[in-house]
Amino acid sequence: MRDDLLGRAALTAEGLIGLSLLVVAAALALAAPLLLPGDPFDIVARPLLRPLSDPAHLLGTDRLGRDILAMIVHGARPSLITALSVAAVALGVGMTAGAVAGMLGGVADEVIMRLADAVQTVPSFVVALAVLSVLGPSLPGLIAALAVSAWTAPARVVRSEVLRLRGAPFVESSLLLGRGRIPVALTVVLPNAITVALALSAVIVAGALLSEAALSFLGLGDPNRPSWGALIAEGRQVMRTAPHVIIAPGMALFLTVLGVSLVGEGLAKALSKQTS
Amino acid sequence: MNRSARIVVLRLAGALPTLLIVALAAFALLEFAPGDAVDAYLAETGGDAGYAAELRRRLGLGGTAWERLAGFLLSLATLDLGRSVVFSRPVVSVIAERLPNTLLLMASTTLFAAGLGLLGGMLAGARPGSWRDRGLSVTALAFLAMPSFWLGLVLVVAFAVTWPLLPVAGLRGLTAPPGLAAAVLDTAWHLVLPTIALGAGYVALYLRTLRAGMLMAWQADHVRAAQARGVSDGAVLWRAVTRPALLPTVVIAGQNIGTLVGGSVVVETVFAIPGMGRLAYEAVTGRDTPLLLGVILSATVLVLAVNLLVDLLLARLDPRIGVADA
Repeated sequence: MRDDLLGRAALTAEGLIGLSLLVVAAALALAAPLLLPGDPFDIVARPLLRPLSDPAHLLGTDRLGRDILAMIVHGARPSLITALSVAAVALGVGMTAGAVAGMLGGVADEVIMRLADAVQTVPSFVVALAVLSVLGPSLPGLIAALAVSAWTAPARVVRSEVLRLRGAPFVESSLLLGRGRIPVALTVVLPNAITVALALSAVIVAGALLSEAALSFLGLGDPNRPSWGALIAEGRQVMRTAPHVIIAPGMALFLTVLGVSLVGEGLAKALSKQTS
Repeated sequence: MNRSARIVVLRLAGALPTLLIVALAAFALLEFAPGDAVDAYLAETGGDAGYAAELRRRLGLGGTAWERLAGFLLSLATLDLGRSVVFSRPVVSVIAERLPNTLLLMASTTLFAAGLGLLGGMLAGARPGSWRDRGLSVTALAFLAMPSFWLGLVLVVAFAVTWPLLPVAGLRGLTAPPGLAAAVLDTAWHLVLPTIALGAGYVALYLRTLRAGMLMAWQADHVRAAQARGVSDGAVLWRAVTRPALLPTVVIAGQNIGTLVGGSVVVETVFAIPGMGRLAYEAVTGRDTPLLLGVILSATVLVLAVNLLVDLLLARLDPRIGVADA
């Protein structure tokens, strides 16, 4: 049933365009070492070459003479890995928390949902800044900093879905077989609540991509990898005379986030057709 | 007790656990961060280990973690947020100085986003499925995908280099003419680009929310009944479809105050606006943990306060709210 949903999402206009954008981004991220071998931070040409002026450096060079296309393509992988990891952690933690809260009710429900309330009240970007200031700039630190706030949305959605399903015959019969409430929540109820959380995943990935770029822009990303946000930050010094230095990495980020949002839109459409 | 007062009481009671959890998390952050207020203070003034121990005892930073926690909560209760390392001043005074600029940016962004977004949402939702609707919806999605700091930089290049029309830094000009009206106009002029950079995504959010609400309303029985009775198209569109769909957009405004504060971090950095968002960034780069905690706690209180206002507004707009538990 779920594969069918993904298939139908891909068949909407939004899903199709979004998916093609994402396929291109993922292919470039995976094939980066083959397409543009070598260290993307190497100085390869005259500084501030204009785009399309030299076929060897299609998008031109930055103020140090590094190839912008190479840095963008090599920067895709850390961005995508961060965003996908944030979504995986947020969905895993959030769905588990939501299923447990909804199934157990009582004190457990109260504690989990109060925690979610508190997390949703503090601006998530400021939380990310604070977590990074303790953990230091690194890929795992970045993932943790963004996942800390991202789990609440899936938790809420899954909780309300579990509350709806709690009295269903197939859940009652599993409980009557003598299995604990938490195992039933995770193995019987949760799989039926996955589709609603799936539509959320696109929002989480898109948000994580934008937040990761903003954090790298502020200099809080992993300094040893090329990243779109850091490229834009470096380009600030020369953008008034060479705007391509910030426009190219920004477009890469924009198109990737747009791809994710379009796929999410397609998923939501397919989902609403399924339920109606 | 009247309805508004009851909402205020309920909301404040609900905010207490949230504030307590945030304060505990802030304390944990303080404990895990390298160095404490005494280290920071001695870095300014100098002093030996004996003096440091004496200071810690006096400031309540010695003893067990429980004693420190009690001291921390006690000083929070008296609105004492400690001393900023970077500014060598009480955190409360630094935040009080920066908060108005951020509130100004948030207010102008909300006005811009709600104005343009609701107009677009109404145009899209008036005829769902039309080309106009599709075009507006795709544009909204593009706005949502645009990173605000990048949009800000592109606007800076466009309006500082290509067409030097608008100011691109700060909130006040160096050569502002005297007089209150001129000063207000000058600040408004400075707010144009930061507002667009921060607000573009929210335009899309309001547009999509209103459109989705109108889409639902078109299928509602009372709308069909009105159409069948021969009520004019304009009256149906405004009274039966748009007005009820406006309510959820107020909820959206409240829900997004937090992300607005987060977004102000990068936008204030790009446009050199001395506000609370840039203060959070300055606190991180300056390793100023007390200041960072102060920003987090005041941002939390700000979000709670705005949500309370939104609840009161919703209760005014929708008489059903807050009646059930009378």
